[in-house]
Amino acid sequence: MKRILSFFFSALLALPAITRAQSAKKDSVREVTVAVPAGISLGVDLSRFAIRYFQPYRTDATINLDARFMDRFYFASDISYNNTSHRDENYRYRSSGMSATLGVNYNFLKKNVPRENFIIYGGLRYGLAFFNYEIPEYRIYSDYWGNVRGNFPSTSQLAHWMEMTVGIKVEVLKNFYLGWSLHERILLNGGLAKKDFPPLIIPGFGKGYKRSAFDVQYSVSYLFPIWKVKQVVRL
Amino acid sequence: MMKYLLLTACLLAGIIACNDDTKVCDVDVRTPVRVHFTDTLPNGISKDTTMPKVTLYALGKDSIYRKQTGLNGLQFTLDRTADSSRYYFQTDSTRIADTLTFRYHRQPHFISAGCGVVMYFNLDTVFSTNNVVTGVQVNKSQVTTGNETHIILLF
Repeated sequence: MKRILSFFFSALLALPAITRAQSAKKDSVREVTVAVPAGISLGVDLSRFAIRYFQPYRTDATINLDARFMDRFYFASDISYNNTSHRDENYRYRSSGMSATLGVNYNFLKKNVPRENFIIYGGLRYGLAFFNYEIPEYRIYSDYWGNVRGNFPSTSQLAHWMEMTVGIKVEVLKNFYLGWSLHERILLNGGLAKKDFPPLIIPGFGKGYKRSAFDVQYSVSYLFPIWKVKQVVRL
Repeated sequence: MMKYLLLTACLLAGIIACNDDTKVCDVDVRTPVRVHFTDTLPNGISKDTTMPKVTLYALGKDSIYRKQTGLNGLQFTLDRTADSSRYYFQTDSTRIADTLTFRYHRQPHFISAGCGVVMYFNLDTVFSTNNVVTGVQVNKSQVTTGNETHIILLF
């Protein structure tokens, strides 16, 4: 684990130097195209388990999928599950649902050697969530008029959003990757967040009563090398 | 140095994204009706006015204001359990009281994960007996957590 962590952080800190070196060599290097192994990468977002520590009412799981289809382009997808159960003196809340995102990642780094497997990427994705939620009981307190109780019945809801992401992914063992990424999501059906009873959590998106959500993922993944892609390599 | 700053910023951003909103209620959850007093002069010009000893209570309930001096307006809550509220309103202990009547629709509204649900009101009609009060104007019919004046009472 120590070795993996040191590799990860070393790779992170070395990135500016790598990109500088690449631009300096721009005119002097020769480029060749070679076929390198590529395939489907299957990963798990470890940060979803950490969220439960900060927000105990949430249970989340996210699977990361990506597939390299061109030298620097990857199809990317996240499949997420969320179950939320909250209870305090003001209200009770329950929800559960699934979501999926689909988009493309672009690797900003040019390769110097064929098997140099780390990427810094930016991506754009479309996300869609289907979930249901309810407020079985809420209370409005008033010393003068007395307290009011009510409920919001179980409702099925669709949410969709656009997502921008930047991240880093490093091969720490053969075909075994670690990576983190930043995500900014903007809800396309923003009226959902402005309803009288908006959802507390939208699966795969985040806080449902806000039109945008920021998120950090820390993922571990395994690459199944199934096909080959042509990669430009600088010699 | 820049690298460490960026890494720290990312970690902080991650922690902020994870904060538990259900633990913090940092918005005003009161939804009172705000009433302003206005005097109409003989030449037709209106100006703000204060009342000498204001008493206000919902009929059958305790006092909200009891002979309170120097008020230029009122702030009180509507009945959350019914679609109308009636109030005894006296501007001075020597003057005849008026009855203020509010008819409205109630709309529960989830205000935040930490605060839960508050009751919004949409005023349909507001009227008063005309012993001292000469008129009622609805300035804003939506009663929410905002800081607006909803009703202007004319004297």
